[in-house]
Amino acid sequence: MASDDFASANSPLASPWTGFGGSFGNLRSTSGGCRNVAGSDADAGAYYSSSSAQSSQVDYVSGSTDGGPALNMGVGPDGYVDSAYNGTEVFTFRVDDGSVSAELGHATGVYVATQAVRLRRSGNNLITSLAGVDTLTVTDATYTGGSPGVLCYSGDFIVDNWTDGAAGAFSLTIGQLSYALSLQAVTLKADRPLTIAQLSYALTLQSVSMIAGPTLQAGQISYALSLQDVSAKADRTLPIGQLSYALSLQAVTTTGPATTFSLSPEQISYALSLADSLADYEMSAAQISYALTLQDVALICGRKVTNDQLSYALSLQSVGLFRGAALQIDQISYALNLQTLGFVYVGSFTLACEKIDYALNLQQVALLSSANRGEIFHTLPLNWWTK
Amino acid sequence: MTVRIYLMPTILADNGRHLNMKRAKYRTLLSNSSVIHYGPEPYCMVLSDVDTTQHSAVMANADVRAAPADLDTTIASGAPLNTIVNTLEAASIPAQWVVAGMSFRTFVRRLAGIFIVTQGVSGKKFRLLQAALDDPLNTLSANAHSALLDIATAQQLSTTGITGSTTLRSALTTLCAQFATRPLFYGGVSL
Repeated sequence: MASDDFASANSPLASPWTGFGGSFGNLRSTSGGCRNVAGSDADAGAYYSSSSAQSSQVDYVSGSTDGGPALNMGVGPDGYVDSAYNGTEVFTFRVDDGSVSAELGHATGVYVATQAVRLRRSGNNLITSLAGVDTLTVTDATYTGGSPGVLCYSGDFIVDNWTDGAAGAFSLTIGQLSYALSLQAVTLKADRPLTIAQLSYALTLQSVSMIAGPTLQAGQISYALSLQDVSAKADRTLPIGQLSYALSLQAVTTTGPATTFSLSPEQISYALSLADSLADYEMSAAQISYALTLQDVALICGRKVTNDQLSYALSLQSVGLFRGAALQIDQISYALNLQTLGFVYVGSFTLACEKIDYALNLQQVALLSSANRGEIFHTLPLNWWTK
Repeated sequence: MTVRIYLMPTILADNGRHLNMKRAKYRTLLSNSSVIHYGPEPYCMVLSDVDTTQHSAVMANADVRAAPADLDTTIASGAPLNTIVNTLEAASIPAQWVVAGMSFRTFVRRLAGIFIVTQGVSGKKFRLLQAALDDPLNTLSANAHSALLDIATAQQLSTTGITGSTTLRSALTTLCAQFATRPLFYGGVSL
């Protein structure tokens, strides 16, 4: 992790600090922080050239608040800066060729002495947080490289305790979260685990490690896990430890190029429920002890649901499998219930049940091409079967 | 308060601190904003959490268009579709991909994709619309063409089928169609 507490009194910031260049002046340390060299209102800034972290954070100390963290700064100078120049709102600006040339967004907020102001990148988004609370999110991917730094325009604007937050083992650890965890646009890199020891009612994630900027976005996790826009590539794993009652995923692996990864829960103790989900992936459940319930789920673009073994029940309602999808169940011990299930695109899907010991119930199931059946030992009630 | 998405012009303005800074034309009517610029072109998308008074104030301007609050609303054929297509084309934004029945959620995602790609090329110091939308890519400089492909790669977009003879309109459409199934995290909300 790169950081600087600006301990050297009244001296220009030394390498690896590098001035923005162009018409920007430099910064200097001062007693208890960092400020612009001029000591009067003037564009001034520096970036920490040895860091390529996608985060920049300072503690606001005092002064007029025209300044803040900078990100993706490089030759031009190009990049992004935060400012609360009017004292009531925070802004994110883009710097193009040495000019603060575009306003990307604004939100109500003020800098508070001793509290952190952070600008970080997550995918195409730049997120400003005040005292740990995300306050402004803007979307811009004009510059994604460069280094984090600091902008000080106001002559009396002083900040301290700069950090890029990119620890070699940066971690987010939550000892206990009683009810729910909501993650949006979280970027997890290889050396940054997200560890949650216990989440009593919704979800437990342990040692999540996703590499090179995928987005894990779960709008709400209480009894379902929703993954959207996950761009996970080979060798990137999402291990999830234990979820006692609703969903337990272990050693879930997301593999393949951007839109063809798989979700593979090795063991689900009680239930996996997906409702109103749009899943552009392959889901393979090696073992589900009690129930897999999918409602209003769309699996698109050549994906499939594969259950090697399902001990008790698989219930699918209002599920659409599109374009070359396959529903493949090697073994189901007790019941398979399918209602309002649509397989679309003739000739490209498969419903393959190798063995069902007790019951297969199909209602309002439309199969537009061939269905492959294996052995069904006891009953096979079919209602509104269309083939 | 309701999250709204607007398409509006950008202006160069002096905000008292920065001179000739590009910003959304009616940003000052909004208490918050998240702007996606269309590269160097004078248009942008704005997401804002607005009340009815703010929304009415913004929509009182003839050069602003808004997506419905419910993005799952679909684009109706006839006049509504024509208005959207004509608005985009008048702003030099390719619009032949907009069809009746498309949800505004898909529309917004794809439009944002066009803006993000175009803005990304701008960051490499090239202007895509140095060529007309119906010009082939090989009328762009080789470096500009390369910049477009670089941005596509950075955004994990497939460039299959895009060649030098592909029109800029078609290339942007092909690339940005791939945003249709990507939830758009924009302005702190997922669209």
